[in-house]
Amino acid sequence: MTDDELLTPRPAASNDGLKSNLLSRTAGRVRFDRRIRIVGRIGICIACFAAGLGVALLRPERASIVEYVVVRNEPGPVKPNVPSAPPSRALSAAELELQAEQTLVKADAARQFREAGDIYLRDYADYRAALRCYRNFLDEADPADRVVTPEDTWLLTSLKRAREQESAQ
Amino acid sequence: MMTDRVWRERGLRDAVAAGDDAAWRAWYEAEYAPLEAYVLWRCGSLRDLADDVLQDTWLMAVRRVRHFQPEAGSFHGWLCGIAANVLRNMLRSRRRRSARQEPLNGDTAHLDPAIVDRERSERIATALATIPVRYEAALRMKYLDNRTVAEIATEWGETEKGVESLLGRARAAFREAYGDD
Repeated sequence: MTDDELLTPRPAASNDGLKSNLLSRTAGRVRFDRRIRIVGRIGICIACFAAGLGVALLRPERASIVEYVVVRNEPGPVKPNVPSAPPSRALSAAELELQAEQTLVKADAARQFREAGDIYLRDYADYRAALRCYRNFLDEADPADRVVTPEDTWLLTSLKRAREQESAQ
Repeated sequence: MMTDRVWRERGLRDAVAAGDDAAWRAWYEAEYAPLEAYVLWRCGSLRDLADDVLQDTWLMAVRRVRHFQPEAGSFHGWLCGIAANVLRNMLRSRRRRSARQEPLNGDTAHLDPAIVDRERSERIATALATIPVRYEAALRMKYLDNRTVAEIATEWGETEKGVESLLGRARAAFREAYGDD
């Protein structure tokens, strides 16, 4: 036989049974894949829900919530001649400053501003806060306290001298 | 550039991948006859072998349709590629099986014409599976698709002389793989 005879396709009857059988099998496979995907998605949803439920049920008890209540101490009636009771513990600079702002007695306020300024300067090197407290101290202090003394810090000394020069002018 | 074929086949692939069996039916109906013709040609018109190849090819195609890339080639070409691989594997296993069932006298000339014809078909199938893919493609276009040399040259972007030369080499390779009658 020649090459052309060998290579030319010979007529063959179509196998319709195979065609329809294959169509039903392959289409069934397509539907099966779709069902698998749907079941997979539902499974993922159920798994997520179960995981959330598990976390909610199995997580350890949370520590009891500590609630902090801020109690504001209103200044009581002014008793000018009665010295205020010393604080039971050493107050911080911020607390002292706050207390000084709330104190109506000028001398007490001046003392507290000065103490706060000393602490800011000595313990925290916070010059800005110390300057603010010292200025308030000088505003509130008696004229006798505005004089430079050996106990004054360098910053307070500078401020007092500056005030003296201002008042001299 | 996106051709209409690419858009259409991509849409069908996505629909089938999403589980649309109507899309699959439409695709299958459109592609069954061309694939069957190709497989029959590759099988030397052996109906039973072609049926086995068609079955395995379609089952594999529906399993792997997500991997089909329309940009890389047509669905028909993709199916033909699967069919060629399936056929190659089947011929290999048949060869192993027939080697164990060789007739004792080794002479088949006296057998009836149906058996001789079947053996010839098997040799055609084996020869087509043996020759290089490009030769097979050229012979397919010439004998199965009934394209002229000029049409093949236009489609492949080659000269007619080049295609004639290629066809000559392909026929020679086929004849060598087929052997003498």
